[in-house]
Amino acid sequence: MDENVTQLLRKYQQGNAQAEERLWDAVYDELRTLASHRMRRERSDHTLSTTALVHECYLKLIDQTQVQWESRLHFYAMASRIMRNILVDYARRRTAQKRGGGAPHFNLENVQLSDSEETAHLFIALDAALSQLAEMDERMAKVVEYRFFGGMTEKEIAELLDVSARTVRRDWRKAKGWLARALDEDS
Amino acid sequence: MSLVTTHWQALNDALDAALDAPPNERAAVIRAAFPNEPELQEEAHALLKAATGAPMLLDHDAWQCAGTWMQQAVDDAMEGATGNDASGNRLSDNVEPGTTLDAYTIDELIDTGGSSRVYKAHRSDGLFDQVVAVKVLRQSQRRNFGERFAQERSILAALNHPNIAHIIDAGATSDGHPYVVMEYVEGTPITTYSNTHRLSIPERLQLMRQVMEAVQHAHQNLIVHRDLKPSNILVTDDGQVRLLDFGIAKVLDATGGPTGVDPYETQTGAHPLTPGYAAPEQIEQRTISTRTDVYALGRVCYELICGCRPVDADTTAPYAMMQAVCEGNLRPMHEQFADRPAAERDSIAAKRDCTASALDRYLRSDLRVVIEQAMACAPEDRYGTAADLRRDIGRYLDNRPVQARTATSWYQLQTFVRRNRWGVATAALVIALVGAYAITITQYSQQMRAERDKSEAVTSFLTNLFTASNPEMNAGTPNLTVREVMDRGTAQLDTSMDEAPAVRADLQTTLGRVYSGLGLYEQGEPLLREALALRTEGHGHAEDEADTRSALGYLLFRTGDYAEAERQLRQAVTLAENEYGAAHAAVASYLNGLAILYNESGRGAQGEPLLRRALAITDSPEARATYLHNLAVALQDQGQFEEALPTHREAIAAFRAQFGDEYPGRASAMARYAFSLHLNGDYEQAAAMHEEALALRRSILPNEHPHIASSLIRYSWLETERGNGAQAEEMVREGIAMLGQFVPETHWEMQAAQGILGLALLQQGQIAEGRARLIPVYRGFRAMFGPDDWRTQRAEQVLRQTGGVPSGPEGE
Repeated sequence: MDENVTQLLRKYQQGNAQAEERLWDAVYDELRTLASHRMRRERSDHTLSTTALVHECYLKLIDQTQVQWESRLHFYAMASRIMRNILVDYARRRTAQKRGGGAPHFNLENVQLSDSEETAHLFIALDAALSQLAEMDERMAKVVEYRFFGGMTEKEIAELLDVSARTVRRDWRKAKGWLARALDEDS
Repeated sequence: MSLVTTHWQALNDALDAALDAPPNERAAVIRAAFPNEPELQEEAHALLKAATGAPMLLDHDAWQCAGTWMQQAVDDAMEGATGNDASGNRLSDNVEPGTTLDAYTIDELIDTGGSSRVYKAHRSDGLFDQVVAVKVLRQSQRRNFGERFAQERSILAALNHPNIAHIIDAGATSDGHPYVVMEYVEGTPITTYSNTHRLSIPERLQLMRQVMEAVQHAHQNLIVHRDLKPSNILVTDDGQVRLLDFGIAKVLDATGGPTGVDPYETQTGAHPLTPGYAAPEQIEQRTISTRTDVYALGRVCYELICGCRPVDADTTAPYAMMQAVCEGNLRPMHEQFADRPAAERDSIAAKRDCTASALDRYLRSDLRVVIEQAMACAPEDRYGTAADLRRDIGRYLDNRPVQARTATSWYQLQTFVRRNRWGVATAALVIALVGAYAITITQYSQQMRAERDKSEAVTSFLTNLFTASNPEMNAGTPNLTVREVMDRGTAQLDTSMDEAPAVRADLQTTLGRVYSGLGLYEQGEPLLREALALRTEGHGHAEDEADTRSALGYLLFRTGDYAEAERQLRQAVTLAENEYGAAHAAVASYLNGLAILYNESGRGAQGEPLLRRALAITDSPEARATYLHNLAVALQDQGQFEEALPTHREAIAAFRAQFGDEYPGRASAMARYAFSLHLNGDYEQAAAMHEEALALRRSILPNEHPHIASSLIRYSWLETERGNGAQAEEMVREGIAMLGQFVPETHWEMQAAQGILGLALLQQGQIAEGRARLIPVYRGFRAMFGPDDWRTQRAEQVLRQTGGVPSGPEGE
């Protein structure tokens, strides 16, 4: 338990930009360590989930007796962005290493998840499409980021964004539609 | 620029509208949004298809998608960093038959799981013959496993239960894979076993109760299974349950990484879990407790009962499934079952030795509440222990109300009716209507006023149901169950129906009335007072107010508050007369209530005309029996014992004709008859009648009830007069102790009982003590009934015989 990170989270919530940067670094380091540790240890792939990883990170870094529930959501939100960052970063390394980059086309619906290379390419493309989506509709992109990369529940997202769970679900479905189309068109 | 970016807003709006519409109307919504723009129409259709179509990448778990290449990236990084790290080696968890692991020789592979392989093996050190199962874990990072296992061993050794497969030994293969040696169990997973044997739902539940008992045993030894699932719950050919892998997860958690202490291993249960059976706290890696096993037990029951998983059939993606579990978005059994094709439903039901519709009824029964409580999202909402769950399933199997907190407001009534199979057809109707009523209240409370007529009809059904469970009205009902129904009903009322105050007051009145019938005046009074407050605020009509006042009046009268009781009952009569006219059944009923009050407060002369009027009004045989009885009591109260006798007999006969032998009203009539016989001097017949009435009351009323106390007290008086002082003393003391639980010391019946105790003591020669108890009673009678009343005179007579009558108000 790191008292400092707990304090950082509180300052970040109060809008302290410096705290945000330092919190980002702390969470980034912890998530990356956890991720690689997990990877080494747990070879059976069904034992991990994004949700579990993010929650574990939270439990390790934050003294829960010192913060309120909303803080947890803000933490998850940041962790979602970081997870996106880490996964896409690894994906870039993976594709650069094996193929030298470049992805021809994708179909989000028929992904061979067992094909690590194709999946890695897909993540990179998804990351770009998500950034485009954010320009059109920021909330929709956030919903995807929180849910897919952060493993947050609809309920948590709704609370964080201060909208109804129904709105979150609708945003999610629309976003799936937009992203599928965007990746398809890029091909 | 694509259409998507140039026409973002229009497409977005169209998509919103389409998603808001029912699925079969969405195409039309899109066509209507772009009537003259086929390209946009097409684009919108494509977006909609992608939005609502088959699961895609985004429906999976990001981490798991990334897992494959993350793994390699990390491995590559590790190779460079640590070179000769053991994890760099591609270790094999495959063990060839014939291999020897410590004292065991591997015979064959019998199971391959996600995190382990299980082999059949035998002991080969010649010490003794033993067939064992050896579970070899895939993970290779667990050093000191054997050492750590040894630490756990004493705990695991405590797990000596016939339904739990023992863990015998542990170690590591030459490749560094940890293994655990377990007792070899010849059996089939509980789900398969139940299906091949076509076990009925009750049989399946009994089997699960065996499982729960074993789990409870482990919990008592502080061992949580953490991975209960059908493949770990085997049933042997002779129908015995055997649980596998108990303690394994715990051993794994206690073991560390290469350094011995694993900095990332918290107490949050980070171990391979089985998606689909894992509890939310396992997925979110929060603290594991015995309730984690309770969840898994509920989950296994769910599947065993309805043959389906609790998530949508198309929810196969781990993310969606875990989310559903974490958010508690699991679907009830009957919904999942209903979603299956008809042929599959029939097949599932056939394996449960019943029809699909019979199974559907099971799925909608209390079982649903039990399973949902076991599988509650938050651990604290679940059953606290496996034993609690087991007990509740036992209660379900006995047709008793389950303890599980209720999801619906009418479910206890349903259980109650099911348990008391009086008038099954009527009961079914009541359930249907009460069910409709509950829905009306919870969902359409805004429309309550419009629905007023309907809800009134249903309220009367509800009232009938409750009233029928009132021992004063209907015999043979186990009181405990009534209490349970009542207390829950009251608790529920506390938190519901704020939007429908009139209905709330109806129900409060009903509940208050039943409590009062049970002698639970403390519970009843606040309900009736609240109801009356709502009535006077204008919620309900005049006749409703009359009803509530009469119920409150009766209760107050029972507690001895005669003045207030009389006021309430008089108002009830007046309200009813104004509302219905003087000759209405309701008026008769309130007149009767008022007359009872007069009778009991020694004003039988005032009660008598009211009862004669009530008898003239009523055409209900049931009501007539009651009024006759009270008329007899009114005569008795006036000392007209001989005149009362035929009326008593008429009342007893009327009760028997209407309600049969075992009816509390008949017992009351008999007790009063005995009293009149006694006071009329017929001691032998009086004793026999008291005996009969007391026996009947004891058999149909709760162990402690004011009526039983009353019988004891009156009977004891007779016994003093028959010269049986010691017996009388014993009886009256029991009566006083019992009555004291229901009414205050100052209640006249309590005082009278003290007087009788005084008589009993006097008879045994304890003059001073006897007189000390009798004198205050004499004074009380004199003040209450007057010097010429028969009660006062009898007391005076006794005092005169034993040393004189005190003249002053105080002292002797």
